[in-house]
Amino acid sequence: MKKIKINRIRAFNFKLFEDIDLRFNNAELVILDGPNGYGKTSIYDCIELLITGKIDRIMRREIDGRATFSDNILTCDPHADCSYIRIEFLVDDKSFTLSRHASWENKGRNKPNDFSAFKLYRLPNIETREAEKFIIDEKEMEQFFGENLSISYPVMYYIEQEESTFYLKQSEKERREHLSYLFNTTKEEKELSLIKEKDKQLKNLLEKIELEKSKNENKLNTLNNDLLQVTNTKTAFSRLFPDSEIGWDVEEPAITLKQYSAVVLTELEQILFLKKNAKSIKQARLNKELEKFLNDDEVMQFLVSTYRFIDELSEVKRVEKTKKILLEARKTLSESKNIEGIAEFENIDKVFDIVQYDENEVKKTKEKIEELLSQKQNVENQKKFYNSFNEARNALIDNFKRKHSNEDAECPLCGTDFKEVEKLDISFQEKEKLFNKYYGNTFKKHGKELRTFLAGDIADLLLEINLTLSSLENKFPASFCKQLIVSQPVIDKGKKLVSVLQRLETDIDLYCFEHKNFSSKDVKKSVSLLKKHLESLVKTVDDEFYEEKYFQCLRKFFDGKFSHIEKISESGIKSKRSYIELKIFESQNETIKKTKALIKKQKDDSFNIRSFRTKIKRIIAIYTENINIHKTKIISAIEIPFFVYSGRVIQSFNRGIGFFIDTTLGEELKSIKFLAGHGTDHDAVMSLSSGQLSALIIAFTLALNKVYAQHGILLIDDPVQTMDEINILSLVELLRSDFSERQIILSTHEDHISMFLKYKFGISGCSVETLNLKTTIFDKVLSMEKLL
Amino acid sequence: MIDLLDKLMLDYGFITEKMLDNKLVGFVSISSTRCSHLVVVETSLDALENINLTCDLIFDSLKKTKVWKSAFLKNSILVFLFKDTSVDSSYSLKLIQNVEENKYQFKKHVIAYNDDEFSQFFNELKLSKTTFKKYLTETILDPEKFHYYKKNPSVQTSFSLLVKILVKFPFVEINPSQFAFADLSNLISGKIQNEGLAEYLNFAQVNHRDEESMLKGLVGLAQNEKNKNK
Repeated sequence: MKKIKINRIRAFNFKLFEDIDLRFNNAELVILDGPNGYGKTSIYDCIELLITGKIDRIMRREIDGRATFSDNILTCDPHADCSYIRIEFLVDDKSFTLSRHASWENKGRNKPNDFSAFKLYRLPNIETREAEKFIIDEKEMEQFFGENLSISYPVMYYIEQEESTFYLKQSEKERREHLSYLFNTTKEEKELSLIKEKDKQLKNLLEKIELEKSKNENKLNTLNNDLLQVTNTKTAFSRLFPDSEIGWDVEEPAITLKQYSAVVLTELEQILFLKKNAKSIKQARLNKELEKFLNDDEVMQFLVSTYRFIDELSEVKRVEKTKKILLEARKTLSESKNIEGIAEFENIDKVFDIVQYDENEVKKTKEKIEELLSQKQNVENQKKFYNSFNEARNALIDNFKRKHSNEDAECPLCGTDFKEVEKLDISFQEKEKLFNKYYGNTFKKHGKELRTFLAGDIADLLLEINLTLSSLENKFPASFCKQLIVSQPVIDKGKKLVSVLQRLETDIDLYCFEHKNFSSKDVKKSVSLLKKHLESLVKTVDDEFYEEKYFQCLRKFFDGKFSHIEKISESGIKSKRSYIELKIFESQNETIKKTKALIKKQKDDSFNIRSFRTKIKRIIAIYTENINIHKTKIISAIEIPFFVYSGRVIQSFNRGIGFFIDTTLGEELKSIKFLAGHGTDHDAVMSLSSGQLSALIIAFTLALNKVYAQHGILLIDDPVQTMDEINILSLVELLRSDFSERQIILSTHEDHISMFLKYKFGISGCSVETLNLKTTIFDKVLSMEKLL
Repeated sequence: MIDLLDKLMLDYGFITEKMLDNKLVGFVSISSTRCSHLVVVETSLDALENINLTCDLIFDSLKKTKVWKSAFLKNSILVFLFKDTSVDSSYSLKLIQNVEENKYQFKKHVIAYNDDEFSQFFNELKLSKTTFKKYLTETILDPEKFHYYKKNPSVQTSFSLLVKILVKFPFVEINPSQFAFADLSNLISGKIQNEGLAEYLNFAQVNHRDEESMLKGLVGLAQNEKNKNK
């Protein structure tokens, strides 16, 4: 181990240091103290960056490779054009100075884990001004600090137990990852994990390809079985339906699908059948049509009775409405015994209109109705008055008779003294008769005038109504109108029947009435004749000609017209079938070819994956084997010192004895545990306190350092954060006895610990330098600023 | 046991002085180079149970020694040798922990042992025909003995007592073999290179965007392999 010491550190524009100059004065123990946040850890960053060219704790953070940052966390002044760290080292009282210098003229993306700007220099001394010309290669660092420094430095020279404590307390996965870090196998284990992931991807892909290949092999078998046998391979293309757009009637029909090619061949078979049996199929279609009509009496009745007059349907509907109004008027007018019944008939104006009364007549009739209504109102009023008056008079007379003696003959109504009661009585009766007569005359007068109106004006109006009704009946007889209206829903069917009959050149005049006056008997007779005629048109054909597929074929390819079938020939159909078969054959062959090519590719891919997986398995084995050997070697080399050191530092745990490193060996080193060794196989990490865990990490790193260190600088960042006094004392004893050859640079934020360390190391003859970062650096800067 | 440890102190350059007290059997040792002061005392279950009283007694006794210095107050480590004959070992273990965690007056260690353990240890030390210091530092690094102890930590042997002495006496430095830290990455890549697998490793580390690009890459690898075989 090379006895090397740090004697002086200068840092310019680095992290929170504007420009610092720390002198360690060849001390064996350097204590960096002061409160948190004043740059103790940044001093370690300076040393690490200078020695290894990077800061591992920043490198370990996952940072998005594409991210860009606005400022650079490695600089103090973002506008300064450079940063540097210079360290003067002492080896056997000879000094050499190394420097890392970064120029910020070309600002990059400020990624925190990019340290490439810091180039390495070996300077004549720490004060050298023109450093640029002293640049050296990174490899030259090995002559001072040994090989593989960037790998070993963070795990054995720099104790940063806080972070390790944090990771070891996390999930199993994170613990495993952090143990990989402690054994310095993180990079290789990550690579191994990615390789395994790739192998898994390929395994899944292989399974997928094999499955697809199996499907394609089955498909190929089916294709070979289904391959059409084609004899004529030279059939020329010609269109079968030059006037229609048929999908398969083109030079290159798209008949790659098996199902579609089967449909096309079926259609061609049907077309051929249709061509050969057009007459029978035509008769079958006629039979179907006729049978439909023969079973529909309503259509037949319509055709016979009213087909000729369907254009008059709207007129008939209007007449029917008029008739209805007139019939209603006739009923009302003829049955009314009083003027109110006539006056209340609401359609009276429509009636005047229909019977074509002139304006004067209408006016006169309406005025008369009004007059009679008024007169009637008067009669009613008089009747009410008379009744009321008479009731009052009779009541007075009865009262008089009851209260007065039989001798009292003075009239209670007019005061006339009749002398005799009998005379008074006679007077009462005569007066009553007189009132009755007066009222009777008024009533009679109204009755007389009403009768005159009914017998005159109303009778005339009824006469006109009857004449109009009679005229309409003559023009549109009731039976005709009824038949026409009833036939409305079957008019379309009737028209179809007429079209069929016309197609068959049947003279429909033989069956359709020319007049509107017909009886139901007439209709029945004519319908019977028509039925007989239709029955005579039905001819027997075989059942096969009734099949719907032929009618569909007729509709699809011949517009439903048998006449169009004549345009194509049987030979044309057969030639088309040969052509289509040829195209199907060609398509099948193409599919077979493609499927074979696909199977070949899948076989090749499958072979390539298998070959690759054989190689990748070997790579995995090399990784696993070497990682295991590496870890096993480390464990074997450090387990005894670790056992002793952990026992000394964590004396309160595990009966005051140390921890064993336990490994579960398998195909790969599955897990590494720290065992207490008293019958439990649980990882002690699970039950240790934060302070004990810190002590465990320190013991582990010190064991690594003891066995592997190539130089004597040992950095310990704030080891006492969570440790108690007993642990600290044990640590001090350990450092004093087993690491007395090292220069220890230790930080603490607690003044009493700083003083204790100074005392304990000092009394054992160790040179100690204490630097308080707050007072040494920041208070100095503040006082300088004050002076300025 | 106390005499044996007295020898160990001498091996490490300590000056020792027996503490003459009716109630105490022990010695005090001083190392001027290390500025370490050790007080080693044979003790009993009763004394451990009344640790503060025991410490006062030791302190009084220390004052009477020739080597007494005021620095003793800050720098002494007190080692109790405790012949554990108790039936309930869990009680004595708890008691020992209590003593070791007691932070008043001295930094304290307890070495608990029994007669068998001690006699085995004593015989083996005698047979080794070497100094106590050498015996300690060499035996602890014997992997065979360590692994036996690792598998059977509760079996009381000379090694188990050796471990206790070594852990409790902080000045006993161990010097394990030195090794160079291997560059695992180089080791692995060298083996992969030697076996002609570098191309395959590169392929495995590429993040292929889809299955087709992965299959194309494999075709390329197969082609290269064919060309190599030609």
